[in-house]
Amino acid sequence: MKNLEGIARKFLPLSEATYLILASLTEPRHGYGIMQDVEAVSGGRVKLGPGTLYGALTNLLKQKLIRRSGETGAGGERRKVYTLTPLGEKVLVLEGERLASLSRLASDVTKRLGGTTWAAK
Amino acid sequence: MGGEMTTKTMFHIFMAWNSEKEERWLSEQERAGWHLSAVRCFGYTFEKGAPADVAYRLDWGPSCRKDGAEYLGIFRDAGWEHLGRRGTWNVFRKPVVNGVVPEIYTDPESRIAMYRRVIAFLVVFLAVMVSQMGPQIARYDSSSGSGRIPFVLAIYGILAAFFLYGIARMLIAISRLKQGRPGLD
Repeated sequence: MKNLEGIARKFLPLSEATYLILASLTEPRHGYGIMQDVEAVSGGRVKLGPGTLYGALTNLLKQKLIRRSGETGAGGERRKVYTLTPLGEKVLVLEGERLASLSRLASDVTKRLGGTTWAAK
Repeated sequence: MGGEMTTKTMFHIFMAWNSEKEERWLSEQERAGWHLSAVRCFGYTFEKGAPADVAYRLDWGPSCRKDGAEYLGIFRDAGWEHLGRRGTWNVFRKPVVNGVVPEIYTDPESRIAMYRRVIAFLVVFLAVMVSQMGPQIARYDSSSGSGRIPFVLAIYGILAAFFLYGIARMLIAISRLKQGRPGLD
């Protein structure tokens, strides 16, 4: 387990789509749930196409950052549910720390140059 | 008789590197009022109706067939209707609303990954053609009597060149996507 952080670091930095998908999976969700959540938390800016989402989920499963934790619905409307693995959680935390320190810098620089940051709005 | 044709079945094939041209062609049919009703092995069946603005997308499906239900489910949830398969290609459509053309790949990276899956398939075909050419060339060398290239060798050569051309087209499309330009023509 000591090794987990070392393995997790190799996945950084994440693409924006990957970060948003992992962040969405702090709660178990099915594919459609991820699409809706990502669109909502990004304020409608990021709309994941189904090809992009399915490809990302396949990759994340292969990399063992997420796992399938069951199914919802019945018959033709059955959907697989995805959850973070401990490795996925670690990757999300490390990337979050990286982005947060970047974001503090961005906030300072932007204010100094006369721009507005989210905090000032 | 005076009865107007209400369905048409057409022979229509496409190569992987022309898949986006095929998508536009299907949308043109739709604008002319021909709605795709069935996907055939080597073509399509259309039904006549009112002209419509519909986006078609061809996706190289998952390599693992047993995951097909989850794959199709994600497309269905996103509003895409699955019309059928042609080999490994899946045909999807979704109406264009307020001029917004929907996409199944929303970043260049995931589209590049799809092109790479197509290339992997073309490379296997190319390898088979080249491996078949070896023994043919050996036979041609030993029978130095005639100056003509054996027919079978010529066929393998033409097919190998064809797949090589396809691979080159897909690679060019990938490098275009990396520069932020559209991939295939």
